[in-house]
Amino acid sequence: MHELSVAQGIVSAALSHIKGRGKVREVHVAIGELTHINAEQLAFAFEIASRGTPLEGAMLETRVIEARLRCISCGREGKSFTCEECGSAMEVLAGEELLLERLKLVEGDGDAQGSGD
Amino acid sequence: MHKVAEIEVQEDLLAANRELAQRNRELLDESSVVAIEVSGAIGSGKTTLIELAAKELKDYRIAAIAGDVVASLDAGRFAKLGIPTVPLNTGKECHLDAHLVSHAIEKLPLDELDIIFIENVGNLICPADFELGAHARVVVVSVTEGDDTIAKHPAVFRKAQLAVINKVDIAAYVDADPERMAEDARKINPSLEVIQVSAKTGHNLQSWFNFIVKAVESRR
Repeated sequence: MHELSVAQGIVSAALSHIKGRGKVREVHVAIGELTHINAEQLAFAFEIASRGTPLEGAMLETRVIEARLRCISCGREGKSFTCEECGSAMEVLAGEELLLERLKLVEGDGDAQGSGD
Repeated sequence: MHKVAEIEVQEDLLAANRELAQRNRELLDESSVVAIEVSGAIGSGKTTLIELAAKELKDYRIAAIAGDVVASLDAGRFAKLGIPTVPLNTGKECHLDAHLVSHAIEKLPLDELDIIFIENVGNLICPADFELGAHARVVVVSVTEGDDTIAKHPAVFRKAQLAVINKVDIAAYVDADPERMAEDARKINPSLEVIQVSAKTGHNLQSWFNFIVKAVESRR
Protein backbone atom coordinates (compact mmCIF):
# COMPACT_ATOMS: atom_id res chain seq x y z
CA MET A 1 0.00 0.00 0.00
CA HIS A 2 1.69 3.21 1.04
CA GLU A 3 4.07 1.80 3.64
CA LEU A 4 7.07 3.37 1.86
CA SER A 5 5.76 6.91 2.18
CA VAL A 6 4.83 6.19 5.80
CA ALA A 7 8.38 4.91 6.40
CA GLN A 8 9.79 8.06 4.82
CA GLY A 9 7.61 10.09 7.14
CA ILE A 10 8.97 8.20 10.15
CA VAL A 11 12.56 8.78 9.01
CA SER A 12 12.14 12.52 8.49
CA ALA A 13 10.26 12.98 11.76
CA ALA A 14 12.97 11.02 13.62
CA LEU A 15 15.73 13.06 11.98
CA SER A 16 14.12 16.30 13.07
CA HIS A 17 14.04 15.05 16.66
CA ILE A 18 17.59 13.72 16.94
CA LYS A 19 19.08 16.86 15.38
CA GLY A 20 22.32 15.12 14.47
CA ARG A 21 22.98 13.82 17.98
CA GLY A 22 24.13 10.36 16.90
CA LYS A 23 22.98 7.08 15.37
CA VAL A 24 19.53 5.69 16.03
CA ARG A 25 19.36 2.12 17.34
CA GLU A 26 15.62 1.71 17.89
CA VAL A 27 12.49 3.39 16.57
CA HIS A 28 9.27 2.71 18.47
CA VAL A 29 6.05 3.23 16.54
CA ALA A 30 2.44 2.56 17.49
CA ILE A 31 0.12 1.78 14.57
CA GLY A 32 -3.61 2.40 14.81
CA GLU A 33 -5.59 -0.69 13.86
CA LEU A 34 -7.80 1.32 11.51
CA THR A 35 -4.97 2.69 9.38
CA HIS A 36 -4.54 -0.60 7.47
CA ILE A 37 -0.78 -0.18 7.71
CA ASN A 38 0.95 -3.56 7.61
CA ALA A 39 3.75 -3.83 10.21
CA GLU A 40 5.87 -6.27 8.21
CA GLN A 41 5.69 -4.22 5.04
CA LEU A 42 6.43 -1.14 7.09
CA ALA A 43 9.59 -2.74 8.54
CA PHE A 44 10.77 -3.59 5.03
CA ALA A 45 9.97 -0.10 3.76
CA PHE A 46 11.75 1.39 6.77
CA GLU A 47 14.91 -0.56 5.91
CA ILE A 48 14.83 1.08 2.50
CA ALA A 49 13.88 4.56 3.65
CA SER A 50 16.56 4.68 6.37
CA ARG A 51 19.52 3.83 4.15
CA GLY A 52 22.17 6.51 4.12
CA THR A 53 20.68 8.22 7.17
CA PRO A 54 21.56 8.04 10.89
CA LEU A 55 18.65 5.61 11.14
CA GLU A 56 20.24 2.99 8.90
CA GLY A 57 20.34 -0.35 10.69
CA ALA A 58 17.94 0.76 13.41
CA MET A 59 15.35 -1.71 14.65
CA LEU A 60 11.76 -0.66 14.01
CA GLU A 61 9.58 -1.80 16.91
CA THR A 62 5.85 -1.63 16.31
CA ARG A 63 2.80 -2.15 18.48
CA VAL A 64 -0.86 -1.93 17.58
CA ILE A 65 -3.27 0.63 19.01
CA GLU A 66 -6.63 -1.09 19.19
CA ALA A 67 -9.66 0.55 17.65
CA ARG A 68 -12.04 2.16 20.12
CA LEU A 69 -15.35 3.47 18.86
CA ARG A 70 -18.26 5.12 20.67
CA CYS A 71 -21.83 5.54 19.57
CA ILE A 72 -22.68 9.17 18.83
CA SER A 73 -26.21 8.64 20.16
CA CYS A 74 -26.15 6.32 23.16
CA GLY A 75 -22.44 6.48 24.05
CA ARG A 76 -21.96 2.72 23.97
CA GLU A 77 -18.39 1.69 23.13
CA GLY A 78 -17.62 -1.11 20.73
CA LYS A 79 -15.59 -2.29 17.80
CA SER A 80 -18.10 -2.17 14.97
CA PHE A 81 -18.93 0.96 13.03
CA THR A 82 -22.63 0.79 13.58
CA CYS A 83 -23.90 0.74 17.15
CA GLU A 84 -25.17 -2.71 18.05
CA GLU A 85 -27.60 -1.17 20.55
CA CYS A 86 -29.31 1.60 18.62
CA GLY A 87 -27.96 1.42 15.06
CA SER A 88 -26.42 4.91 15.01
CA ALA A 89 -22.99 5.73 13.67
CA MET A 90 -19.95 5.32 15.89
CA GLU A 91 -17.21 7.92 16.31
CA VAL A 92 -13.56 6.87 16.45
CA LEU A 93 -11.83 7.42 19.79
CA ALA A 94 -8.64 5.50 19.00
CA GLY A 95 -7.11 3.44 16.23
CA GLU A 96 -6.40 6.01 13.52
CA GLU A 97 -2.98 7.05 14.80
CA LEU A 98 0.50 6.55 13.44
CA LEU A 99 2.47 7.44 16.53
CA LEU A 100 6.23 7.88 16.57
CA GLU A 101 6.60 7.11 20.28
CA ARG A 102 10.31 7.14 21.07
CA LEU A 103 13.82 6.82 19.72
CA LYS A 104 16.83 5.12 21.27
CA LEU A 105 20.12 6.41 20.01
CA VAL A 106 23.82 6.14 20.57
CA GLU A 107 25.23 9.60 20.96
CA GLY A 108 28.52 10.69 19.46
CA ASP A 109 30.01 10.29 16.03
CA GLY A 110 28.28 7.00 15.56
CA ASP A 111 31.34 4.69 15.46
CA ALA A 112 29.76 2.47 18.10
CA GLN A 113 32.07 -0.52 18.25
CA GLY A 114 31.67 -2.97 21.08
CA SER A 115 28.83 -0.95 22.54
CA GLY A 116 28.10 -3.89 24.77
CA ASP A 117 24.65 -4.94 23.55
CA MET B 1 32.35 5.64 25.60
CA HIS B 2 29.10 6.04 23.84
CA LYS B 3 26.07 7.20 25.66
CA VAL B 4 22.71 5.61 24.95
CA ALA B 5 19.94 8.17 25.01
CA GLU B 6 16.21 7.85 24.77
CA ILE B 7 14.08 10.55 23.18
CA GLU B 8 10.37 10.53 23.91
CA VAL B 9 8.58 11.84 20.80
CA GLN B 10 4.83 10.97 20.87
CA GLU B 11 4.12 12.55 17.48
CA ASP B 12 1.17 11.37 15.39
CA LEU B 13 2.53 11.43 11.85
CA LEU B 14 -0.96 11.36 10.38
CA ALA B 15 -1.84 14.49 12.33
CA ALA B 16 0.36 16.51 9.99
CA ASN B 17 -1.89 15.64 7.07
CA ARG B 18 -5.00 16.50 9.07
CA GLU B 19 -3.54 19.91 9.94
CA LEU B 20 -2.67 20.62 6.32
CA ALA B 21 -6.17 19.57 5.29
CA GLN B 22 -7.57 22.04 7.81
CA ARG B 23 -5.40 24.78 6.34
CA ASN B 24 -6.60 23.94 2.83
CA ARG B 25 -10.14 24.20 4.06
CA GLU B 26 -9.54 27.59 5.66
CA LEU B 27 -7.99 28.93 2.45
CA LEU B 28 -11.01 27.78 0.48
CA ASP B 29 -13.43 29.28 3.01
CA GLU B 30 -11.66 32.64 2.82
CA SER B 31 -12.58 32.80 -0.86
CA SER B 32 -15.97 31.13 -0.44
CA VAL B 33 -15.01 28.20 -2.66
CA VAL B 34 -16.55 24.80 -1.99
CA ALA B 35 -14.33 21.79 -2.68
CA ILE B 36 -15.86 18.40 -3.44
CA GLU B 37 -13.59 15.36 -3.29
CA VAL B 38 -14.52 12.50 -5.60
CA SER B 39 -13.07 9.08 -4.79
CA GLY B 40 -13.80 5.65 -6.13
CA ALA B 41 -12.23 2.62 -7.74
CA ILE B 42 -10.57 2.70 -11.15
CA GLY B 43 -13.21 2.98 -13.83
CA SER B 44 -16.11 3.73 -11.48
CA GLY B 45 -17.02 6.92 -13.35
CA LYS B 46 -15.41 9.71 -11.32
CA THR B 47 -14.10 11.71 -14.27
CA THR B 48 -17.32 11.36 -16.26
CA LEU B 49 -19.48 12.50 -13.36
CA ILE B 50 -17.31 15.58 -12.84
CA GLU B 51 -17.44 16.35 -16.58
CA LEU B 52 -21.23 16.08 -16.53
CA ALA B 53 -21.47 18.37 -13.53
CA ALA B 54 -19.17 20.93 -15.13
CA LYS B 55 -21.31 20.91 -18.29
CA GLU B 56 -24.62 21.15 -16.43
CA LEU B 57 -23.91 23.69 -13.68
CA LYS B 58 -23.18 26.63 -15.93
CA ASP B 59 -24.22 29.15 -13.27
CA TYR B 60 -21.21 28.21 -11.15
CA ARG B 61 -17.55 28.90 -11.80
CA ILE B 62 -15.94 25.48 -11.64
CA ALA B 63 -12.37 24.15 -11.54
CA ALA B 64 -10.93 20.65 -11.27
CA ILE B 65 -7.89 19.10 -9.64
CA ALA B 66 -7.09 15.75 -11.23
CA GLY B 67 -5.02 13.34 -9.14
CA ASP B 68 -3.81 10.25 -10.97
CA VAL B 69 -0.81 8.15 -11.92
CA VAL B 70 -0.65 10.04 -15.20
CA ALA B 71 -2.81 13.02 -14.39
CA SER B 72 -2.64 14.63 -17.81
CA LEU B 73 -5.22 12.18 -19.18
CA ASP B 74 -8.07 13.14 -16.86
CA ALA B 75 -6.84 16.71 -16.63
CA GLY B 76 -7.01 16.90 -20.41
CA ARG B 77 -10.68 15.93 -20.35
CA PHE B 78 -11.47 18.68 -17.85
CA ALA B 79 -9.41 21.25 -19.70
CA LYS B 80 -11.39 20.50 -22.88
CA LEU B 81 -14.47 21.78 -21.07
CA GLY B 82 -12.72 25.12 -20.63
CA ILE B 83 -12.46 24.95 -16.86
CA PRO B 84 -9.29 25.76 -14.90
CA THR B 85 -7.58 22.43 -14.30
CA VAL B 86 -4.57 21.37 -12.25
CA PRO B 87 -3.08 17.90 -12.78
CA LEU B 88 -1.43 16.20 -9.79
CA ASN B 89 0.78 13.28 -10.78
CA THR B 90 0.68 10.80 -7.95
CA GLY B 91 2.95 8.26 -9.68
CA LYS B 92 3.25 5.20 -7.45
CA GLU B 93 1.38 6.86 -4.57
CA CYS B 94 -2.02 5.34 -4.08
CA HIS B 95 -3.83 8.39 -2.76
CA LEU B 96 -3.84 12.19 -2.81
CA ASP B 97 -2.80 13.92 0.39
CA ALA B 98 -3.40 17.40 1.78
CA HIS B 99 0.12 18.51 0.92
CA LEU B 100 -0.22 17.73 -2.79
CA VAL B 101 -3.65 19.34 -2.86
CA SER B 102 -2.34 22.50 -1.18
CA HIS B 103 0.04 22.99 -4.13
CA ALA B 104 -2.81 22.57 -6.59
CA ILE B 105 -5.00 25.05 -4.72
CA GLU B 106 -2.15 27.60 -4.90
CA LYS B 107 -2.34 27.43 -8.70
CA LEU B 108 -6.06 28.18 -8.92
CA PRO B 109 -7.69 31.64 -9.02
CA LEU B 110 -9.78 31.09 -5.87
CA ASP B 111 -11.48 34.48 -6.00
CA GLU B 112 -12.88 33.61 -9.42
CA LEU B 113 -14.30 30.22 -8.46
CA ASP B 114 -17.33 28.73 -6.74
CA ILE B 115 -16.62 24.98 -6.89
CA ILE B 116 -13.45 22.88 -7.10
CA PHE B 117 -13.78 19.18 -7.84
CA ILE B 118 -10.84 17.15 -6.53
CA GLU B 119 -10.64 13.79 -8.28
CA ASN B 120 -8.70 11.29 -6.21
CA VAL B 121 -6.63 8.37 -7.49
CA GLY B 122 -8.68 5.30 -8.43
CA ASN B 123 -8.64 3.39 -5.14
CA LEU B 124 -11.23 2.43 -2.51
CA ILE B 125 -8.78 1.79 0.31
CA CYS B 126 -6.04 4.36 0.84
CA PRO B 127 -7.91 7.65 0.35
CA ALA B 128 -9.91 6.96 3.51
CA ASP B 129 -6.93 7.81 5.71
CA PHE B 130 -6.02 11.08 4.01
CA GLU B 131 -8.26 14.08 4.35
CA LEU B 132 -7.72 16.71 1.72
CA GLY B 133 -9.66 19.60 3.22
CA ALA B 134 -12.69 19.30 0.95
CA HIS B 135 -16.14 20.31 2.22
CA ALA B 136 -17.73 17.12 0.95
CA ARG B 137 -16.39 13.65 0.19
CA VAL B 138 -18.13 11.69 -2.54
CA VAL B 139 -17.44 8.03 -3.28
CA VAL B 140 -18.39 6.71 -6.70
CA VAL B 141 -18.90 2.97 -7.00
CA SER B 142 -19.90 1.10 -10.12
CA VAL B 143 -22.25 -1.92 -10.13
CA THR B 144 -19.57 -3.67 -12.21
CA GLU B 145 -17.25 -3.88 -9.19
CA GLY B 146 -19.31 -6.61 -7.61
CA ASP B 147 -22.27 -5.66 -5.47
CA ASP B 148 -20.43 -6.58 -2.27
CA THR B 149 -17.73 -3.99 -2.89
CA ILE B 150 -19.27 -1.45 -0.52
CA ALA B 151 -19.44 -4.00 2.30
CA LYS B 152 -15.77 -4.80 1.62
CA HIS B 153 -14.56 -1.20 1.86
CA PRO B 154 -16.31 0.40 4.84
CA ALA B 155 -13.59 2.91 5.76
CA VAL B 156 -13.95 5.14 2.73
CA PHE B 157 -17.77 5.16 2.94
CA ARG B 158 -17.64 6.03 6.60
CA LYS B 159 -15.84 9.24 5.81
CA ALA B 160 -18.13 10.27 2.97
CA GLN B 161 -21.27 12.38 2.68
CA LEU B 162 -22.48 10.93 -0.64
CA ALA B 163 -22.22 7.52 -2.30
CA VAL B 164 -22.98 7.42 -6.01
CA ILE B 165 -23.86 3.96 -7.31
CA ASN B 166 -23.12 4.26 -11.02
CA LYS B 167 -23.80 2.26 -14.19
CA VAL B 168 -27.13 0.96 -12.88
CA ASP B 169 -28.25 0.60 -16.50
CA ILE B 170 -26.08 -2.52 -16.84
CA ALA B 171 -26.58 -3.99 -13.37
CA ALA B 172 -28.49 -6.95 -14.77
CA TYR B 173 -25.64 -7.87 -17.11
CA VAL B 174 -23.23 -8.22 -14.19
CA ASP B 175 -25.71 -9.75 -11.73
CA ALA B 176 -25.46 -6.78 -9.41
CA ASP B 177 -28.18 -5.52 -7.09
CA PRO B 178 -27.90 -1.74 -6.63
CA GLU B 179 -30.45 -1.86 -3.79
CA ARG B 180 -28.21 -4.21 -1.84
CA MET B 181 -25.31 -1.85 -2.43
CA ALA B 182 -27.35 1.11 -1.20
CA GLU B 183 -28.35 -0.84 1.92
CA ASP B 184 -24.72 -1.77 2.62
CA ALA B 185 -23.72 1.87 2.35
CA ARG B 186 -26.45 3.05 4.73
CA LYS B 187 -25.55 0.34 7.24
CA ILE B 188 -21.93 1.46 7.29
CA ASN B 189 -22.83 5.12 7.55
CA PRO B 190 -26.44 5.97 8.48
CA SER B 191 -25.89 9.65 7.65
CA LEU B 192 -24.61 8.92 4.14
CA GLU B 193 -26.69 10.12 1.20
CA VAL B 194 -26.92 7.37 -1.41
CA ILE B 195 -28.01 7.82 -5.04
CA GLN B 196 -28.23 5.40 -7.96
CA VAL B 197 -27.37 6.80 -11.38
CA SER B 198 -26.22 6.01 -14.84
CA ALA B 199 -23.75 8.58 -16.14
CA LYS B 200 -24.11 7.01 -19.56
CA THR B 201 -27.89 7.08 -19.94
CA GLY B 202 -28.39 10.14 -17.78
CA HIS B 203 -30.63 8.27 -15.35
CA ASN B 204 -31.12 10.18 -12.10
CA LEU B 205 -28.21 12.51 -12.76
CA GLN B 206 -30.32 15.32 -11.36
CA SER B 207 -29.74 13.92 -7.87
CA TRP B 208 -25.96 14.25 -8.42
CA PHE B 209 -26.35 17.86 -9.57
CA ASN B 210 -28.71 18.60 -6.66
CA PHE B 211 -26.16 17.33 -4.14
CA ILE B 212 -23.50 19.66 -5.53
CA VAL B 213 -25.81 22.69 -5.59
CA LYS B 214 -26.90 21.97 -2.02
CA ALA B 215 -23.27 21.68 -0.93
CA VAL B 216 -22.54 25.11 -2.38
CA GLU B 217 -25.74 26.97 -1.47
CA SER B 218 -25.83 25.70 2.11
CA ARG B 219 -22.51 27.44 2.71
CA ARG B 220 -23.55 30.82 1.37
